[in-house]
Amino acid sequence: MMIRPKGLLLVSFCLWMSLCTAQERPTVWFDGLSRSLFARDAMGAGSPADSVSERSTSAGYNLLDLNVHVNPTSDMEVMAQLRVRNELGGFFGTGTTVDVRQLTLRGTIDDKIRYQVGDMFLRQTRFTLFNSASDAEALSAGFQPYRDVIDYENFYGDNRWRLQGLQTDFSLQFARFIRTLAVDAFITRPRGSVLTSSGTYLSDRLLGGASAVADITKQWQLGLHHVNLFEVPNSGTMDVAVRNPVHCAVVHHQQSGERWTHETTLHAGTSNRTWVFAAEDQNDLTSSGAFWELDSQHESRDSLWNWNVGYRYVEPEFRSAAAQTRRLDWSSAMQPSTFATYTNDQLARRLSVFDLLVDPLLYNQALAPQLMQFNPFLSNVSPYGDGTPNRMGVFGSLEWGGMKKAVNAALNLTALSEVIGQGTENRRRFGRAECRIHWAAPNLLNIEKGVDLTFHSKAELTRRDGNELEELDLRSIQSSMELKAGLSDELTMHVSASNWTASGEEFLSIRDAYGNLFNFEAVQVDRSDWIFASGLSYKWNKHTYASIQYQWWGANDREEAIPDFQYQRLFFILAIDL
Amino acid sequence: MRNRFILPCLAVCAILALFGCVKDGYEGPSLNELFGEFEIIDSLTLSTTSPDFSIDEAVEFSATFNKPVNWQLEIQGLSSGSSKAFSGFSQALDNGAVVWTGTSSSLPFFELEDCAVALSIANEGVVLHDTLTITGLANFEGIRVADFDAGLPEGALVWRQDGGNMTFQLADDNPLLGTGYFKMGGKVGWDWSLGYIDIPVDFSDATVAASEFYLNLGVLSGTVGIPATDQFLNVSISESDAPFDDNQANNGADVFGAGNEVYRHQIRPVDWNGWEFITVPYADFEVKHEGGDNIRTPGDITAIRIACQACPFNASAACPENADRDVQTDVDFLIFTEYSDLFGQE
Repeated sequence: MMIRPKGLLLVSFCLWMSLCTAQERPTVWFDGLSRSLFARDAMGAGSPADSVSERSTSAGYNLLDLNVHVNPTSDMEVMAQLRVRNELGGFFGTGTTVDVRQLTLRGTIDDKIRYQVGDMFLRQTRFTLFNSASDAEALSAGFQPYRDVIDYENFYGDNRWRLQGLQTDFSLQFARFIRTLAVDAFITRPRGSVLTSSGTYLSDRLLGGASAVADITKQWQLGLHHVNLFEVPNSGTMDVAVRNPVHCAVVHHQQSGERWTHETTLHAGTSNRTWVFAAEDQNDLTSSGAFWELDSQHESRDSLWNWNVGYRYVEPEFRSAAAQTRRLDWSSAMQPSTFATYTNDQLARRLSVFDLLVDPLLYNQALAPQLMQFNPFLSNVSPYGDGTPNRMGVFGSLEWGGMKKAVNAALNLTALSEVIGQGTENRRRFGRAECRIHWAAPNLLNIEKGVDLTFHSKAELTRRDGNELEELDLRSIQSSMELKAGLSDELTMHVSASNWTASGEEFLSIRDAYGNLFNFEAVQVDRSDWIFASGLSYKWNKHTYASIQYQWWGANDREEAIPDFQYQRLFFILAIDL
Repeated sequence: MRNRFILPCLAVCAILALFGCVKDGYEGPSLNELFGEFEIIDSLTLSTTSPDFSIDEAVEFSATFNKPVNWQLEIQGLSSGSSKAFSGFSQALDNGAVVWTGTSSSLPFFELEDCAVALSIANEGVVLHDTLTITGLANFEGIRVADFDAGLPEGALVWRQDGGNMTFQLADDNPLLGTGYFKMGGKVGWDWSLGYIDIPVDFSDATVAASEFYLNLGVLSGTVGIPATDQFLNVSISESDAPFDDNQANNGADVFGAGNEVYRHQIRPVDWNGWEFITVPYADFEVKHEGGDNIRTPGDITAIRIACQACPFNASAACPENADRDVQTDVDFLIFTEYSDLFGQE
């Protein structure tokens, strides 16, 4: 059994300190999560000949995340999350780990100023500090248990980044000029000084920021946001350090009428990224960019209709590390956790969408000052979220919830183009249409508890005119359908089918260590990934459920050099919210 | 009310739109150049085709293309089989960008021999060829501690157990480089230690950090039979300023004893056949004895110990198979380099 003494010592110290400083008898309470997961993978009948790899594998684990909350006083709390994890097949302590997963101290000073120290989850605007969803997550009908695991294991809650540091916030009320002012400030350390394999020490990387949001009137709100990702050169032996301050102003107006509520939001800001070199004869590398977005949202008073339209402009040089860092970094060496090689030639199996939907270890939690690589097969329109640089254009959505809320239909449309061409003066044009329909039919097919039908589809188009070297045409369509039939109040049977298809050509940007674009890699995409799944779920409440599923999945590539593959998985999960 | 809101918004949008225009030009290199027709503007040329690296001559390679390409330049020794490779992404090899001083990218080292030169532009299916003849071997940059060509380094001490087939002597039958090397091996059943060589050094001119200071050492094994189980080299570096060998009753130098500032790195196991070249930054050495500031400082190094060790076959019966095997961890060409290891040099 592996016990991390440092973590336990730290928890013990914090608890002891809290108890010592308490003026009253402390309150201790617990919550947490327990999960058992088992997966058995097997080669499908359609897989190419492979007598080298194992035909099937199985793996799983049991874990308990116990959150210990100690309130030494009514305005202070220490929270430690202790994880006990046991791999299936590990007996007598083998394969068992005990870990401190989170440690936070939070409280209020004089009932006015809130603070927290330790692990925290931070978010500002979509252009300053924001954890955008990954490309593979948009379509995951039938994969909610996996989605829960990935988000939980990577701390992806509510588009926040998990950071460690100090944060405080407070709000003020005024009698004149403005109604309230809320202030929030934090300083965190996304990366400590690290010894690399080459024997050099990477510097401490810090992220600091502050927000001030003022309610001017009931209709008008003004917010100012600032974040800065920077490195402390003295804490390492590297001869370069980065600074990336981003400023953003947000003006928000809302107005309620008899039939409609209108909200209009304007974001505008600037960024600056500088690589500061220690050598005096080497000039710093600086790039500055700006952005703005106007979004007008409208909702009917009966909530039946909801629509918005907006315009966004993000300069090519806009860099915001805390908003543009991706959950999936395709420039890193990501490998499938099951059947990493296949065929008798032991080819490296490329990641399929199924791998991305089920494997939490593929995801990134570290903020990076450079733009990470993305995969145009999955998404090419806004790979870095709404803060994707070099984009301008309109977007909008329409949502309808009718038939006594039994039907919910949404359509999102985006038409963007590049601000400046890449490798040519001709600019790419992007289009995206996303449609989502959910129908909760109470009496369909005489099923007692009704049927839920969900259809979700997303189509993307990337085009560029020009000569034969410049011309681009990349199309992708992703569709997913799920049918859920309620057999009782708790027991549900579900069937789902998903498909991801893309074809065309694209040029990937190759950038140096400082983000300068110096080369392009021409890629041809012509493949499709698919998943069929069926299973049963028993749900006690939203976070406590058991699910057993059988999944058939695979990928087909039109290129003959890349053999198709096909696998199956039996999956069981029991999640208990304590 | 609505007009009061819409008009300012439109005004703001109009102002922002002025700053939201399409930009002229393009980002990155031209696609038409990158993926257009490839042309060689200036073919591959060598500054000399008969370099004498021993007098610090170097070969400068140059070529010019009509566009940036991924290129790889390889020099292959036609007799030794040694090779040296350079690669890059650029439109030209010029201005001293690719200079070769006679080093190799891996073992073996180059000899006095003819070499084939190939410049490959893989994406274009183009290979440019040339040849050269090495007339003098490379002077590797660094602090050469021992090459065993003219005997043991000055002041070196050798100690060994009284085992069977013990070597611990100079030899010239199979050197890695030059004419001699130092054999370290034999058979000792009762102890892990077979023997060692202690070398006094003066690195006071070294100013780089420990992470940029590399130990480079050739190690030979497997030529006298199957390598002994768990045979290895224990390299100790002393930063002690005590006298090197004041107490001659000790086995070897005094500066490696307890109380002296000593760092250690194990080359373990030595289980290969033939020569291998080991490179390791000084920063990777662990503390063996605390006796100073515990900060690895290359300029403070005063002595190096290379100890031959192996799993004994008698003492604890841990490795009984070693009763039939001779330990062999011969060494040659101990050199310290700055900023990069030996194979990283141009």
